[in-house]
Amino acid sequence: MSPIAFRRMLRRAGILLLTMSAGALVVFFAMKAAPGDPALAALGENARPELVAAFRREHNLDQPVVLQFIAWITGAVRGDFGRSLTLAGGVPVGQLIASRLPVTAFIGFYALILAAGVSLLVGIVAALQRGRFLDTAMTSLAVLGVSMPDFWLGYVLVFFLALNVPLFPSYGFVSPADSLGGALLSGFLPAVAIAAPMAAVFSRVLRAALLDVMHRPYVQVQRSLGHGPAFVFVHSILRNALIPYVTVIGLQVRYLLGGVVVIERVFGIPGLGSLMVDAAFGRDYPVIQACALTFLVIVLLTNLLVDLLCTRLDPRARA
Amino acid sequence: MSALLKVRNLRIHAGPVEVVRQVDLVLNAGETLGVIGESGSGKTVTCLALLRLLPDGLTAGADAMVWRDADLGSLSDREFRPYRGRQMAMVFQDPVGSFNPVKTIGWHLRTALDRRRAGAPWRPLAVTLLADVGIPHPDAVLERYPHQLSGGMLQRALIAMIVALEPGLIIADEPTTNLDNIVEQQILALFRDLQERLSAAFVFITHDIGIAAQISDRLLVMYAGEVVETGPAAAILAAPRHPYTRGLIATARALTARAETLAEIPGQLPLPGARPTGCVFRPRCAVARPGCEAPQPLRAIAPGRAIRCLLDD
Repeated sequence: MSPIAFRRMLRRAGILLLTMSAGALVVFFAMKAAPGDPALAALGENARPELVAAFRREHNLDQPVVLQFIAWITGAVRGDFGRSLTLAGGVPVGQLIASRLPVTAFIGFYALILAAGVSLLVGIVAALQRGRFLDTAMTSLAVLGVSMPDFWLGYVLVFFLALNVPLFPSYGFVSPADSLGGALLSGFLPAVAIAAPMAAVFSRVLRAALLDVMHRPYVQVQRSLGHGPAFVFVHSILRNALIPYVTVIGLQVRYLLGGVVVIERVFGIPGLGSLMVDAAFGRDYPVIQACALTFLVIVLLTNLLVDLLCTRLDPRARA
Repeated sequence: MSALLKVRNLRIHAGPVEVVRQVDLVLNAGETLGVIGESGSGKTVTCLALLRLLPDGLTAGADAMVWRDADLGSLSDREFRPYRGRQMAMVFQDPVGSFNPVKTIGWHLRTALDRRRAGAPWRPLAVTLLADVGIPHPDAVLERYPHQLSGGMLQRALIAMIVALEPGLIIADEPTTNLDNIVEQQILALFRDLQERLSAAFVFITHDIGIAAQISDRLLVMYAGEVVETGPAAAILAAPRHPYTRGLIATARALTARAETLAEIPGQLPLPGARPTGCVFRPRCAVARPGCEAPQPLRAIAPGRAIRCLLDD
């Protein structure tokens, strides 16, 4: 690794660390600022004051907020997010996250791969058929795809493909650890519901990028050298159009997470999203904070990954 | 000597509008044809039409288009493709834009060489080609990306790619327009070197009559999509016959002499859709006379010389 590349890596790691710290601060204090008392939420509105005081002491709620934050963040770094306030026996939050994260990751990747695969195909066909029937049809579909809310699409899919024609289960989820086939089958409808609006955006971006690159002078130069249409398309047109395409996919990952949270509720999938929603209803703030922090880390890491990928794709970004 | 490329009555349409009309070309191996005219006179599209690389919306037709003994007009696009690069190649105006930004110079040369040789190691050939066009440290340059090289270096590398294909005809479309003066002279020197080394025919498109004079054997002067004068370069420069050619040469002389007042051709190029009837240069011509409103044929005035003008002196 050249010294310049090394310094860039260092800088990037520093920025990542700073962003994570800032994000952790926001996550923690936003929860603190939220109305409602977790002790009362856990013990009931009419709990006896001694019990409430004991609960507060047990969960460090009687300490100054800054000390609470320091305790929380130092624990989080070690993977210790405290214990759940509501779930039976005060399950360690870290354990909850560890059991739910793979489910959410599976659904998320499933949706991402579906969206990327479909949009790659649709974007290329639309660009090559520009102005003709297929392009127009796909453009209309894409507009529809962007306009449909994912939870609504989820119910529509369940109605047609699970209830009317029982191809897929309408509810619940088989863990990929138990059966990969079962996971792919039971995860299909939720993944499609999340992927459809994203695929619509991705394919529009790819189509526009392809049409832009097609008119670059180097494409004409490649043709003038006698290279065949397939060669020119793959090495010059598609290869360059991938740069904005991958960038946009990276930017969309946060919407993907938002979609996962909603869709897990719709389909009753025991992932991080439903954990977070349940925790929010129960005012189980250590769980909410831990979920939010996990989502934050996922977004930051994917951004980093996309950054690295874009650097691989575009030598000009390596300067 | 039989001609390399013969084109009769080439015309290019943009929908119903005729952009280029009645262009006849004869190109011989070892000879350089300079094509001159203002921007928009149809020089570039004429050459793109030869390579069948016209942008969408433009269509070309010709009464005859013969490469050596092959009738190009009868070939499908697929059948024509082998002629591109291997037989006729083109150096474009913008060297920076001519390179795929995500691929190395080595990739560009290797893929160009792939069109020619099968199996032989490409790297030594590529290094030699780059060295021959005056690129220092060719071995290191192969690993470079286009954005790491200057415009002049890229134009040399592009020329190396074209030399790699060993084409019979090399078209250069204002290859020095985007380069500064010193680099321009270097690239022109490189072209002169190529003219000596290769037995190819050259077409050199330029709006600069001074450059055309340096490098061409014959000239083709275009105005508003028509050939207005053609003939041996020396003869035309010594005694231009068409009023437009005279205007161009007067302007160029005034520029080199740094005259106080620039001799300029008044008026501007007509738009392709709004071409005047008769002689297209008539509205700008200082010596227009009765008879100029009739269509002018390109008429021979001396061996190898023709003008599209009824002027007789």
